[in-house]
Amino acid sequence: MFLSGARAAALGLGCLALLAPLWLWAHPGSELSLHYLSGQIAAAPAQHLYLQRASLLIEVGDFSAARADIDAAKALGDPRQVAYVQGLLLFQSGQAAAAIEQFSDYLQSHPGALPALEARARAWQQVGEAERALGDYRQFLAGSAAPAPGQYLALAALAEESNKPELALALLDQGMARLGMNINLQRAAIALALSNQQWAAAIRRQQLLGETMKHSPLWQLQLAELYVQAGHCDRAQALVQEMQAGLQRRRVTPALQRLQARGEALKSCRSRTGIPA
Amino acid sequence: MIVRSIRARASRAAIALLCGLLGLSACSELSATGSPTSTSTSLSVPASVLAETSGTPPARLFLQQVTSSSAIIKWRGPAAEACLYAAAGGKIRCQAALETASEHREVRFVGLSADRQYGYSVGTYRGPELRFRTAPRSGQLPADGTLRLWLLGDSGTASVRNGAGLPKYPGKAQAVMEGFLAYNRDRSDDPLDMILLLGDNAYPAGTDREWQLALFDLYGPLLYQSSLWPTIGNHEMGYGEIDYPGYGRVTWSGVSTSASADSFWTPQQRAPQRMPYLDIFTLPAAAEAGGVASGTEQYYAFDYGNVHVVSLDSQLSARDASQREAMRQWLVADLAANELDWTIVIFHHPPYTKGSHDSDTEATRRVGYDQPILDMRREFTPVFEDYGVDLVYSGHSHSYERSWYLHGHRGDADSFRPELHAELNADGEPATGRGEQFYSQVSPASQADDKVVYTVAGSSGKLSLGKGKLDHPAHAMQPRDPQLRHGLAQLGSVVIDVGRSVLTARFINDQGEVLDSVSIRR
Repeated sequence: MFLSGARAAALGLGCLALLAPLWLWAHPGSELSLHYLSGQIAAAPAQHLYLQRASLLIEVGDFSAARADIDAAKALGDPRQVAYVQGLLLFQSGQAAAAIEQFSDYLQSHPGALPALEARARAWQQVGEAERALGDYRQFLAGSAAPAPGQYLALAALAEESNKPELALALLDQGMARLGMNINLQRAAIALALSNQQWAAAIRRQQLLGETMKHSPLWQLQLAELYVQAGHCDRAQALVQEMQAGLQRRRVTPALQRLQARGEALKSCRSRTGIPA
Repeated sequence: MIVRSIRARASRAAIALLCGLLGLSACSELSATGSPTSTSTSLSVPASVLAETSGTPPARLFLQQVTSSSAIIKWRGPAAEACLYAAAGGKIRCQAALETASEHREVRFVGLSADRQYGYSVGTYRGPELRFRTAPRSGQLPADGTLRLWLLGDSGTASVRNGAGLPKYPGKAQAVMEGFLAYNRDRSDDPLDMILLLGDNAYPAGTDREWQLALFDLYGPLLYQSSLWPTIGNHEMGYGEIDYPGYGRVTWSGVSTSASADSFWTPQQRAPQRMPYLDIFTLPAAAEAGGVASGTEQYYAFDYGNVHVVSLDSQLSARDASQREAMRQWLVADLAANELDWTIVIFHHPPYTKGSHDSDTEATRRVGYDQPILDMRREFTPVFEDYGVDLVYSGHSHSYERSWYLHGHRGDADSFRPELHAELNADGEPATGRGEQFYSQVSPASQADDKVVYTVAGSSGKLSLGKGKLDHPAHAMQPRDPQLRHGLAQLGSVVIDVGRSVLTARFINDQGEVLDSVSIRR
């Protein structure tokens, strides 16, 4: 570990504040960063330091202090630099439409800036412009050098929370188009399908996971459970039988024992009618 | 100058040592092959030219994703293509390189035969040291009956300079390497099948330059022949700034708490960037080497013969709840699909340690950037135990600690109860895993494969204990330690030998001595 100059740190952190997504700071220790930044500002006020502190203040909910920092930042440099943080403040204050204007201004002078794209997407989502939100999300994730499945999941969850299941599903499929068939994203898509009682869609998606999951006992059981929900007990029971035969060849693990038990439970399934598969 | 000297010495030693690592017959076979034929290009080079080193090695050259049917040769340098030499038939195949991030180039050769030795050249650079062996078919062992894995934790000290610009840990990592080579030489130079990196392999911040000094310059020729599989340590993720007890507000390497691979920064740069680790390594996000596709290079799995290996990301993905849960769900799916004999998991932050880091809750919270220690213990160790993982390796603490055969221990050190959390021997004490007290993969007590050996092996580049006392009761007492502590304050690395029915892991110190061993039978 190496101590380095405070100035160099401030430079690096200043850039981070402008470019990093907000969740970068969403960890214990934001208060320490605020304390540190206040010291830096007292020693040598600079636009990027005020903007960085404003971002943190927004994160912790101190909007009036954030507004004061944004005003101070405007007086210290190019006002176009301020638009992004101003947008964050407006968004967190419940003024999504006004935030969109600020993010758009910032993106005009900083085309493709990923944090601004992500933030504007959330704002579009909030004002009910799902298509525009999806467009920004797509651009945001397309620009990310190495998006992880968890990022797509988080965005899909946001869409779902906003009561936009179609948008959530589109984001998950977008993720799989980029990352390839993915257990996390497909299972999330299956959960969405189930919540809308789209049994056939859920089953089709689970079937598509088969190769990725190597048709493992877990995959078989998950598919069998979907068949049960869809009322197709015969298919479920055949699959459970196949799974249990496969388990005989494997080492006994606690997970395997649980699969056995879940499989047994499915055997009591009674076929229903009238539910399309 | 020092680096050049080390590299030259390593290159001279390469032919003798590394032909030996692959077996002497490999070199004689190579020199006996006739003129090969070209396939994808008209180039025709007698394979015998590989018997002598010629040309200039690339700045870095290493193997990635060696499977039973494919291999990636990766380098940095002007060479525009690589050629493959099938040792037995003398057949040549040349392929143009794909340019990848940060001026790397790589060629993926496919359609290879399992458990077969191949020679290769990169541009004009060729020689007997440029050879590798493909993995055995899935579930199989190689012809010699054993897979050998070498694990290096926190080895990246060769890139660290002191205030005067001199090496801060002179010769430490090299001594560990030489200890391993001496050990291997004494055992007929068993072929080395792969190298697993446990994180912190390029101090202090994981910059591209530090990777060059700490990995490629030091281990050079070893990396020409054995597939390299890394995991992300805290020192691969640049700098962060924290309030640290006793130091106040500091900007340090290794304390980043970011979950984003695009937020790597050092005081020398203006803007954050993608972490160099991800530009250097080509890792199997799409299950190119077996396992279930993770969708990210930050964590991945692969099969090699009868071993399944999982590399988790306890540095980035673990710091964001959503990404951590995605990684956990993927791990469950991956392990549920695994049918191989043995399973090994690597990640950087150790679930149990009383070395230079402390895995207890309060101590971990005091050092805020160590949160992954708790999260990995609470959320991932249950998965390891449920799905038949045999060995878990981490680094981070700069000493060696190896656990008993554990199950169900999620709390702090003082909550460890041998009768609840460890496999016991006939005397009702924790079985040591050594000699006659070997562990059985399927526990005689529970009749299930539900126990795991956790090892901290973070002394491959430096040794430090801080306030640590090596007294975590979940770790085995070490009779070779003068104070009989639950760990060893020794520089060293780990060698795992994998057979069909026995797996043995040994800690080798920088003198080539075996100071600890643990065996699992199936």
